[in-house]
Amino acid sequence: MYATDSALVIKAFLDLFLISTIFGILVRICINLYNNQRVKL
Amino acid sequence: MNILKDYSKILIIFLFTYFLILNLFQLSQQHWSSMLDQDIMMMYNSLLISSGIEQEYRDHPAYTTFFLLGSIFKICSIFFDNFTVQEILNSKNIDENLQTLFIIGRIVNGFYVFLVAFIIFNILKEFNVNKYICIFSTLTIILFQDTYELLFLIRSEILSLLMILLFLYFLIKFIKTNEIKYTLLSGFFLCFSMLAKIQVIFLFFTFLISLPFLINHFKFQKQKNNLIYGKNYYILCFSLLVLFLSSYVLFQILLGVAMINEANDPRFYFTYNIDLFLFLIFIIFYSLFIKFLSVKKIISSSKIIITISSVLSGFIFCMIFIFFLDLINLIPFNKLNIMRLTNPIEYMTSFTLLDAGRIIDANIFDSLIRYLHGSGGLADLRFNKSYDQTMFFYLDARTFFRTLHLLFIIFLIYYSSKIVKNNNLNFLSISLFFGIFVLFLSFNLRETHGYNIYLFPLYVIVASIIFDKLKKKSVVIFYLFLSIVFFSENLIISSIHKNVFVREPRVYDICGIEKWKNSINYIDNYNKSSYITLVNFPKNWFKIYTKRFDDAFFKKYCNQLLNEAGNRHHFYKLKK
Repeated sequence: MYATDSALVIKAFLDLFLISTIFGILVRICINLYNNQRVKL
Repeated sequence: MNILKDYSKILIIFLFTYFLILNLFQLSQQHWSSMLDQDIMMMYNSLLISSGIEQEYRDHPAYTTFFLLGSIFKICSIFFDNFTVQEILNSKNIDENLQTLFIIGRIVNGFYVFLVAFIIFNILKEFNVNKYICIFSTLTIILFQDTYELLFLIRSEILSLLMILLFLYFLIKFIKTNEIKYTLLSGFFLCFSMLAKIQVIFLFFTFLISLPFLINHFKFQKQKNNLIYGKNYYILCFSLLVLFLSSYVLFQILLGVAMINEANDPRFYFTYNIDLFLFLIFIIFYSLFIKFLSVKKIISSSKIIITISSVLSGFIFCMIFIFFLDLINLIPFNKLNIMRLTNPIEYMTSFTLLDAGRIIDANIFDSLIRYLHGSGGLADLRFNKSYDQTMFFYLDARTFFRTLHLLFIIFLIYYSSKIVKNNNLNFLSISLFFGIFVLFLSFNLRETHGYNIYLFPLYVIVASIIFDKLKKKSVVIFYLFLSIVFFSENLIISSIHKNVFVREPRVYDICGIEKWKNSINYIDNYNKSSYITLVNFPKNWFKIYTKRFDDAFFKKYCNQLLNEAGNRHHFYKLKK
C-alpha cells in the first residue's frame, strides 16, 4: 500500500513540475514574441 | 581499488592545474582597472579590513570575501610593504601595488573555483556513489559555462557556494557518524556562506527540505555513536530551537517598533516585514511536513530537530567568533551586516527592484505579486539593457539552456522512478529538484554573471545519485547528453568568453593620458556581450564605492603614470 502511494506521489510531483515548466516557458516565449512585435511596430 | 584512488588524485591535480593555468593566462592580460565593478570593490574593501577599518560595501554583504582576502593581505602586510590602505595612499608606485593586490585576489578566486569542484567530488564520495561517476560528474564543471564567468572575476558567488557546500559536506558527515562537532562545523560554514552572499539561502532551504530524505539515505550506515539521541539532549536541542526561533520573531518585531520611533521609514512597518512572514509560513509548513513524515514512520522527528538545532548552534558560534575578532580589533565587522542576515529576502527584493528604478519598499502582498511577475519573466529587471542576447527559439540562450537542464533532470527522475524502486532516492531527488525549480524561478528576476553556478551542485548531486543506480549503458548516454548540453551553451554564448580576453584598462577615463586610450567604441562593444555594463564614468564610481581613494590620490596616481618612462613591460603590457 505504502509503495503504491509513494509512486503516485512521486509521479504527481513530477507531473506538476513538468507541466509548470512547460507552461512557464511557453508564457516566456509569448512575452518575447510580443516584445519583438512591439519593437517592430 | 588502488587504481581508482589514483584516478581521483589525477582528477584533483588536473582540475587544480587547469583552473590555475587558465586563470593565470587570462590574468596576465588584464590590468587592475579593467573590471571596476566588482573586482576593485572587493580588493578595496579587503584592504580596508586588513587595515583595521570596517567594510564600506555591504550589499551582498560579502563579509566572508573581505574576511578571507583581507586576512591574506594582513598576513602579507607583516612581511611586505604596501598591503594596507594607508601605505597604498602614500605609495610611490600605486599602479604596481594595486596590480599586485589584484593578482592575489584573482588567484585566490581561482582557488575557490577549484575548491568547489573538490568539495563536490567529496560530497559525491560521501553519498557512496561509484567512484567513476564521482569523477565524471565532477569533471562536468569544466564544461559548465558559468564556471568560466566566475573564474575571471573577483565576486562573492563562488565563495558563498563553496561555504554552503562545506555546510552540506559536514551535515552528511554528521548524519553518517552522529558526531556533534560536524554539525557545529556545518553551522559555522552556513553562517560564512550567508555572510558571503545572502542569495545562498535558497540552497540552504533546499537542503533543509531534503534533510529527512538525506537522513534516510544513510539509514543503513553503521553509526558509531548513538549517545546524542538521549532524551535530555533532545530536550536541550528542542528548547534551543524554540529559543532561537522565538528570539528571531521578537527581534524582528521589537526592532521594527524601536526603529519606527527613530526613523519614520516604511521598511519598519509591520506589514512590510516580508522575511518574518515568509519565515513563519515556512516554519508552519515545515513542521507539518516533518509531522506527516513521522506519522507515516518515514523519519523520526527528533533527529531532524536535533540536527537543525545543532546546526543553528554552530551558526551562533560563528557569529560569536566574528564578534570576538571584531572585539580584539583583528578583523572589524560592520554590525549592519546582521540586518542582511536577518532580512535576506527583503534586501534581495529591494536590490532587484531598486536597480529597475521601481519603488524600494513594498508591503508583503505587493512583494509577493512582484515575485510572481518576476519569476514568470514579466518584469524586465535586467542590469544591462544593451546586451545583445542570442535568441534561441524566441528565448534568450541562458533561459533556453536552463530549461533544457530542468527538463533533463525531470526526465531523469521520471526514468529512475520507473526503473529504480527506491522511494527514498526518488523523494530525495525530487526535494533537491524543488530547489532547482525555485532557483530557476528566482533567476527569471534577473540574470548576472555566473548565477547558474548555484544550480550546478544540485544538478550534479541529483544526476550522480540516480546514475549510481542505473545501468552502465544508460549512464553513458545520459553523460553524453549532459556534456553536449553544457558544451553547446558555451558555444552559443561564446561572445562572453571572447569578451573576457579583450578587457582593457580604464586608466584613460581616470587620468586622460593618451598612451592609455581605449580602442574605438570599446565600452559599447563590451556591453553588447555582458550581463553587467562596464562602469561608464570611473571617476564618479570611485567617489561612491572607494571613498578613501579621493581626488588627491588619483592626481598622484596619474602623475606617477605620466612620468613613467617608456612603455611598460612588467605586470601589464599596453596593447598597441
